Amino acid sequence: MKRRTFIHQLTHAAAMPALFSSFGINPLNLSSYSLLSNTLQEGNILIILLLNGGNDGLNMVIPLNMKSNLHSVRPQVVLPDNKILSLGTNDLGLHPSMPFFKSLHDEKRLKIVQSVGYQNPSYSHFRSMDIWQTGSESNQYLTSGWLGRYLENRHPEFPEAYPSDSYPHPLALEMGWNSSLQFTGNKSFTSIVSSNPDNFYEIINEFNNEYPSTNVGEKLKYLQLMAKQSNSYGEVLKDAYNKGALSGIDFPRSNLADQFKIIAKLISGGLNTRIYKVEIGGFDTHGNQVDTNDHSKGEHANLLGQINDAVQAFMQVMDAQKKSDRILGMTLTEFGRTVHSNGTNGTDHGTVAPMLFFGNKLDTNVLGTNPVIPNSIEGQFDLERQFDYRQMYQAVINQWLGGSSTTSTDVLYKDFDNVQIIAKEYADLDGDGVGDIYDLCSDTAAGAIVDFNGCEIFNLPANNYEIHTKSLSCIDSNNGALTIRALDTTYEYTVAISVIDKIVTLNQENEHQITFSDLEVGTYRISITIDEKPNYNQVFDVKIVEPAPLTAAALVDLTARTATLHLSGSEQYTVTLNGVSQEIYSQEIKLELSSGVNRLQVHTPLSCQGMFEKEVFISEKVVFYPNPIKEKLYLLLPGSDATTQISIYNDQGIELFYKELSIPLSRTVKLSTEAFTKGLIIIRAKGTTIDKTFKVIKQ
Amino acid sequence: MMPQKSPYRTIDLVDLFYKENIDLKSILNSRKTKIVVSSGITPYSGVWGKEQKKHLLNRTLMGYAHRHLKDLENLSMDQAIDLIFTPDAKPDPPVNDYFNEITREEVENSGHVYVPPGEPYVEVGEPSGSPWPRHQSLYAWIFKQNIEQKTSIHWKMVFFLHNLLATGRGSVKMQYQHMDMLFDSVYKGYKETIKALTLDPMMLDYLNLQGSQKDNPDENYARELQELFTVGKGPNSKFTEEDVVAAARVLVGWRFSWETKNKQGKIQTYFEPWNHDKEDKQFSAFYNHTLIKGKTGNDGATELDELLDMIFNTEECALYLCRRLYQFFVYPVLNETVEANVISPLAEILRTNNYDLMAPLKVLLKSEHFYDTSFYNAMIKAPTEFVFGLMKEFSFDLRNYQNETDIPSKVTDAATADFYKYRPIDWNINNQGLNYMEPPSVSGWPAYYQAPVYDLFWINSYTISQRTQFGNSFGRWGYGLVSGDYEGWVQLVINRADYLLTFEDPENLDSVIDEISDRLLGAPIQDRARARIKNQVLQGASENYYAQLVRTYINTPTEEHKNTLSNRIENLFGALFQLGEIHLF
Repeated sequence: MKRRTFIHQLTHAAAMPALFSSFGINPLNLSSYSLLSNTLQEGNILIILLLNGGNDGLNMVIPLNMKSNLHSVRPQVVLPDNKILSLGTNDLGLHPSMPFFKSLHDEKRLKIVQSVGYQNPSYSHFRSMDIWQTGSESNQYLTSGWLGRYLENRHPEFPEAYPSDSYPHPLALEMGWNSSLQFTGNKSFTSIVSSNPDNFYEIINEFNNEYPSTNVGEKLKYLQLMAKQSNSYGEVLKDAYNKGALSGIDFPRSNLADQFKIIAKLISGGLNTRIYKVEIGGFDTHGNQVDTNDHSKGEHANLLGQINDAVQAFMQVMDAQKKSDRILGMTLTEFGRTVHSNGTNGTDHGTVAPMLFFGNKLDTNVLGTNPVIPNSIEGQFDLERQFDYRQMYQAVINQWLGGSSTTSTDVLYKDFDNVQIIAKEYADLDGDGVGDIYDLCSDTAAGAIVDFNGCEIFNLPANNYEIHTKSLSCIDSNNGALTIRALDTTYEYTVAISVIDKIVTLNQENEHQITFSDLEVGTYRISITIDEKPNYNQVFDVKIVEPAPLTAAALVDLTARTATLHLSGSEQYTVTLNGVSQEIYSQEIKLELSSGVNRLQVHTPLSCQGMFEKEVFISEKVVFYPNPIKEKLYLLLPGSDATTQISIYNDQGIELFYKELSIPLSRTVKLSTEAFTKGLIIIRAKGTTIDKTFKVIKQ
Repeated sequence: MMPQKSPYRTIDLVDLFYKENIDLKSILNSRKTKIVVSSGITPYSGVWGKEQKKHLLNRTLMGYAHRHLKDLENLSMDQAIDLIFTPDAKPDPPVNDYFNEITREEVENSGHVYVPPGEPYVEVGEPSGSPWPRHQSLYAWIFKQNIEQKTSIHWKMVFFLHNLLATGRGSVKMQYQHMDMLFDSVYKGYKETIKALTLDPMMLDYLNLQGSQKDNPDENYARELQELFTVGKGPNSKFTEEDVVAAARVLVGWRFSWETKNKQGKIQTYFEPWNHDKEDKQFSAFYNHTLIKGKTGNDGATELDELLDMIFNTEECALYLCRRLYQFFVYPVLNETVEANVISPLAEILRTNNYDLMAPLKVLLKSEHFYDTSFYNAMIKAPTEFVFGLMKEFSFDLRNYQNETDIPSKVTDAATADFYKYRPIDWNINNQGLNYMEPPSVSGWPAYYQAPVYDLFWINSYTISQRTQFGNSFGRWGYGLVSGDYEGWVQLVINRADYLLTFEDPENLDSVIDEISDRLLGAPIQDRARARIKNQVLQGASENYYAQLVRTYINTPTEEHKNTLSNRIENLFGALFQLGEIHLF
């Protein structure tokens, strides 16, 4: 087993502000880089291991000093003394199914916290789990979860601006029960779930449609956002999953191990998601918690064994890939179980329970004292609570995920007494990746780029620059323009612009502003440096565009005799139907068509956008009978045509007959078909308002 | 209200929605900018075209299909409404079509009562519930009725009631009896429905009347009866906690008989005089200080009628029910204008028609308000409407891609085919967030009641990917029914080639895309999507080549030509079923 490694790892919480909102230009035409924005690095990872049903903490972490009382109050479930894995610390032992956790303890990679719970405990599974997950008081009903609030706090632009260049990966990923073979998708915090990353679904690529502010528009916009989030994260998950490797470690076969295996592959494959949740159920051991013959076996032993084996395989992969320094695992269950055992070899709903943390960077002192077990129990007895569960959350935020006491108070609505979970030298209050003990600047703003001392490297916010573009007035007019202005006037900036290959200076003389004109369509890279700050370089890609060509699509409804035009490229259009023109200011118009040829034209006030033209032929309805025919075929030709051209083809397309016939007042023409061979024949009647082809069978 | 947790693992749409961190504020702000539809219930006299018919069908059927539109082809609006309000025929109860899934020994060894193949099982004794395939058979039967429905509002109303009067956790016999009661209730007065609901075994069990004791009456049903089923919790619904207690005391004594559940025959509900509270029950000012005199012996049973009379005498009851009708059939967002111009007059109609829901509903579905274009395609389909609609629209072939000939006879035999065809729907719609027989709580599905999110609840990034995955596979290789006898898997695949021939001009790809979009989508297809789909179909070939494939199949309809054409247009279906627009109705 590997010893914990003491590699001082430089990590950054890479957060770039979302840039687009601060610019007065079309965001789609601008993207920004900073020389440091590629420091998407390996941040701390939190894995929450959810034990559903209420875990019997007293049989997981055993207070050995209370052995004899445990025998008297929980005789039906108490573990045989000689099988308990003694830790040699604080008179504590672990369940015999957890040898790997014993090794973790021996390697100083396990932390035990005693008697965690909350005031006025609820004995209901759902309610108590809700409390733990939302981070609420017992009598408080919250609709959001503590990690949700944490992530919102750290990522105020989420979800609209996500995924972004800086956060291309999900912020959190939950694995759950709907597990298929590989990827157990329950729900991701940031809305990714895939039941199978290999098959992950390419939903649709058209994600940037604008929709009107109608009821329909509202729904389409919403559907698009969901599709977008689902899809874009799907791709990165699939990618990371495919790249990931397991270093030859065999995972045991269990649902929990499957979940850990996917996470191992994702982390290995470079997914930068920092919060994961895995889940295992079955801890509601009212009956048959243990085998009557051997209390070290039974349902509870099996569950703890699954956890032991899954965590072992997972940590072995992380150790082999030198990633275990990034891992913090934390168990969470809705409540502990009763101290006394019941008549069905089980225990009932209790209150507090111990929590386990595993990872390389822990402060491994046991928190709390061994629970005090009485020698007899009558009626309700609950263990004394030593810690509020939110103290653990607070510690995880302050010491591991990144966030000051302001952050944790915002998230948990309260201040709690500090508990030490992460060793002091690794605790990282500002989440910049440099442990507090080495951090000379311990309140670096979230997302700032820091040096080895944890201090911010010189950087100016990307919105220090105002960049305005002017598009071409017409296609090929080459009169685009680009203006750059620096807001912070304490520096002199050197601006290099590609394509036209110019280098200019922004200083007092030009009031820190410059305009380039007569530009062609293209992507211009603007690179800004400051001579006195050698490491600083801010890059923008700016697009100069020309007006969109006029596009129009006509949806013709032959039955209703209408054409619906969907237009784009302008605000105003002139629509001409059969010589009659109208101005319209919407992107859609429905036109009534008349029989015969309809000529449709659309143009915009900018003649360089071109013109759309379409001809639609609306035929009068032709009735023919009988079918199949023996001798005569009758055609009823409505409308006003005086004559009609009749062509008859065989099924090979060879013309058998052609004649222009005049249409009588009855509007019925009679054709003799005696000359044609039996089988399918195709008849076309064509005139000014009629053009119909139909098939009949000649008998 | 006690939220009821389903014993099944379900997808919690509300939970998932809030995990998405959607910017609700901007959605709400944008709603404020929309023009309020001020028209009322005056009969609509505008254009009666395809759009109007589609809107009517969308809202009154369990999924839209072209065949329904054809039924309305030559009908005026009044005739269309008459057709839609015609009851659907009462189906024969489901029979044992699941016998390939479980043997007699297995059934009996688990303590269940055996039912021979082809025999109905809905009244069989259930001393220890029913085998799981029997549950699946019942659900498959329900889905079949919905999918094969006539152009009638009947099954939509069953779902409306199923959602409004939500209950779950029943055995097969209880579930059938419940659905049967809802089916029969559609064309009865709502007061009668509520009485039937009160005595319904599944509801007695679900909201604890079954276990209510006169010394300590259970308030669960008494509360929901008022809060969810009749007077609601609108601003003027001012029933009190004392009213809940008094109603609980009226209701105590009703229970169903376990003996009848365990034996052959319907489950019987009866009144136990000894377990009834014989004292007087005093109600609040909201109920006009009604006093229900305590009665002894079997007379105690009549107190229920007095209770319902009292509840249905309130103004609020009709208002609440009309709001629910409006939100379900027109649009979930209410406002003062709608309240004044639509809800109030409808409530008056409901009251004067003895609480026959069909009376105001007919007026609503003929109204100017209903046909305001802003409501067309303005809602997101429930998984039922999405999946049932696709099932309705097409005819299917059975395929085993690994071994063409390995199609087990149970999938084609008349006695069992429907079981295998409709069974997978339960799984599929559940993955999309709707477990048909287990509403998430007694309030029903949040999409129908929870402001301000409403129908947006159906979609989150999990369910959207479930829907698109379903759509994609449904359009291409079909959905899986059961494994082959030797290898592979039997798929239900759309008969794409023949579907194509039902179009006006199957040889013209553009017109095909127009027509199929018009049938299936709730909004015009975006230009980029259209171009992409067209490219996917043509894959570099010319439109002429495509037209030739169609012509060849028309002229010589061999299996080979059919397959060539079918493969060519696979992308059309697969891609179309993934578009966001398909989820609007």
